Amino acid sequence: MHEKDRVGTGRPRGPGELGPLLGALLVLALLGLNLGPMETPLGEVLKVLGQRLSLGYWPGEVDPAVLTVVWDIRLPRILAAMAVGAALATAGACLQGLFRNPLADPGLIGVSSGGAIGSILAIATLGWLPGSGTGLLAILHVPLWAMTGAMLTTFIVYRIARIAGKTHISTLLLAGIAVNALAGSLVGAVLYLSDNDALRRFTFWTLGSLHTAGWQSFFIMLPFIGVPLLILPHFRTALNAFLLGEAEAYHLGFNTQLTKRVVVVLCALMVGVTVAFCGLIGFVGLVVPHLVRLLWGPDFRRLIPASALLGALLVLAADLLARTVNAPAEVPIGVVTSLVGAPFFLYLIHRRKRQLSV
Amino acid sequence: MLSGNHLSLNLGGRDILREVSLELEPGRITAILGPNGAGKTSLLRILSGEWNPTRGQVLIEGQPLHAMPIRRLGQLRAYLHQESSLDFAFTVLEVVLLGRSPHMRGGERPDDYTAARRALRQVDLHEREGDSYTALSGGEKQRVHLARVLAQLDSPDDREPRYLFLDEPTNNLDLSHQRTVFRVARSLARERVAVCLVIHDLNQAFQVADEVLILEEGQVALRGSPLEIAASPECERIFGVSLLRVKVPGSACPYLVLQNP
Repeated sequence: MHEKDRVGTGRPRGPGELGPLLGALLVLALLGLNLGPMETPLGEVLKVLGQRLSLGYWPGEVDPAVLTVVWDIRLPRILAAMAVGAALATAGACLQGLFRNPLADPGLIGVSSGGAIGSILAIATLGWLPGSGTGLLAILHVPLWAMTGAMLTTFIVYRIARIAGKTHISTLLLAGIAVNALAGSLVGAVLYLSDNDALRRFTFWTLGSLHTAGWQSFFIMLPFIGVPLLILPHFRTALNAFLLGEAEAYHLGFNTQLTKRVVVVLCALMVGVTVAFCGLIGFVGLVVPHLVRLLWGPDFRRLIPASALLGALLVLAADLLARTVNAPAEVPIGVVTSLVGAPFFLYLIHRRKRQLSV
Repeated sequence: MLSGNHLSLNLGGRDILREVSLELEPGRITAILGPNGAGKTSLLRILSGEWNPTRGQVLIEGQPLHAMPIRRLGQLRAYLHQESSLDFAFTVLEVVLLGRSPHMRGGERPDDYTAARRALRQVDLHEREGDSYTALSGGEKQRVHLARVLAQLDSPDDREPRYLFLDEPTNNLDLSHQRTVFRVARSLARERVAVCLVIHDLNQAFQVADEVLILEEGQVALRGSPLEIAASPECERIFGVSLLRVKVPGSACPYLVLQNP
């Protein structure tokens, strides 16, 4: 073939490649609606969905108990799991681009802990701040503080870790350790001062859980996750250029200041709102983008949508596992993701160590 | 034409550059030399728009550089940093295609692939386009980035003035690929590109450049044609060494050799 005619880099490009991911996500969601302590035959589940989605035009009668379990308990939880997974994985992918380092993870570099610190401060000050006790502001009080905490931490870590235009993973992780330690001690202090009831509410921050996810929390999370997921793809080529360095991205014609600010703010919104409702769910932002890069390469044009889908898939699977493995009791989802993610992280460090010493 | 007028840079109370003026003309190669810490890279970063000067201004085609949209500037000006690193497993071709970013709207077109492959051929890496960037040697990586800036300046209109900044482009390269860099610079100059490079080797600078500028403590100490600079006794003082000028057959410019190394 003549050189002029050859187009493409040999990597798959079309949206068709994401089809299997989408299919798996739907199958898993159905499975999630079907599985649980209460037996719900698949036919009944489909009938509930049909009736609700067709606004009652679907023929037949549904058992009200099944309706409650499937529509009011399982479905919002499944949707929340998908939203949280998409948010954490996409935030991980984008922060890795910004920090130019494939090992950056919202949990490891302290962004999630920043959100936790914000949440804890919000709960501690609940009722003190004007307007924080009533209405919409009361519902948004904790998430807003969490997002602010996540945002401030990201900016601080970025400032600390950047030396002469580059971010070093060692400084990045050290800054993360410091923020994580601060969050840990704050959680510890609050736990020490709490009564039994509050104790249970706080422990979930360190391990993460989706058991509180209902329609209300899902709809509060939705804009803070959905809007960033819609905006971030617009920065895909800028993020590609960022992988070369901030100065290089500027020379390639990108507004680096704008990119940096928007990406940090959007990632912090996603991570912060996730932390406020579901606590710390670790390693999703590390493992998912890494798998996507292995499959399709590091190009953000593919990385962002594929990370969102695969993140949704993995958190949904982890939550399914968390609530069925020891039913009716629940294992915190953070335990599941960390059990998979932490060894994976160690393996990545080990592989990079070998790369460096060769 | 790109001109820097009375450029001064002060960082943390220290004068990095003082009243430096120079003009980069399309079709000419300008070499910037000087002892370590003389402000060479800072000057390049200011001329390319990456940094703002404390005083003075940079004009491109008579207009202030920062008045030009960043994307448009990206189509006209490229910069090869001393060291570019990339920690992600792009293929060689994908890295070079990043250089086409300022020309792309919504994805690569056939032209972009043509430009990228042409650039890879120029740096002798056309047979490696599918290789993973992270598996390359330091010198090969440097050549990939050179190809990237070449692809960036690839324009269907050869008469459009463009500007290429190269910061020590021969670092890490073996002799034959050092020659590649100079050949590429020469051929770009023939296509109306103004090339401005920071370089350490005086003799290489004299071989490739049309004009040489020597910085000393942030100020222009010497400027002129390679012939004038090579003959100037100021070189000894600026670099603090004794030099021997050796006549080379077939060249008007003497070859400078360190005395008592």
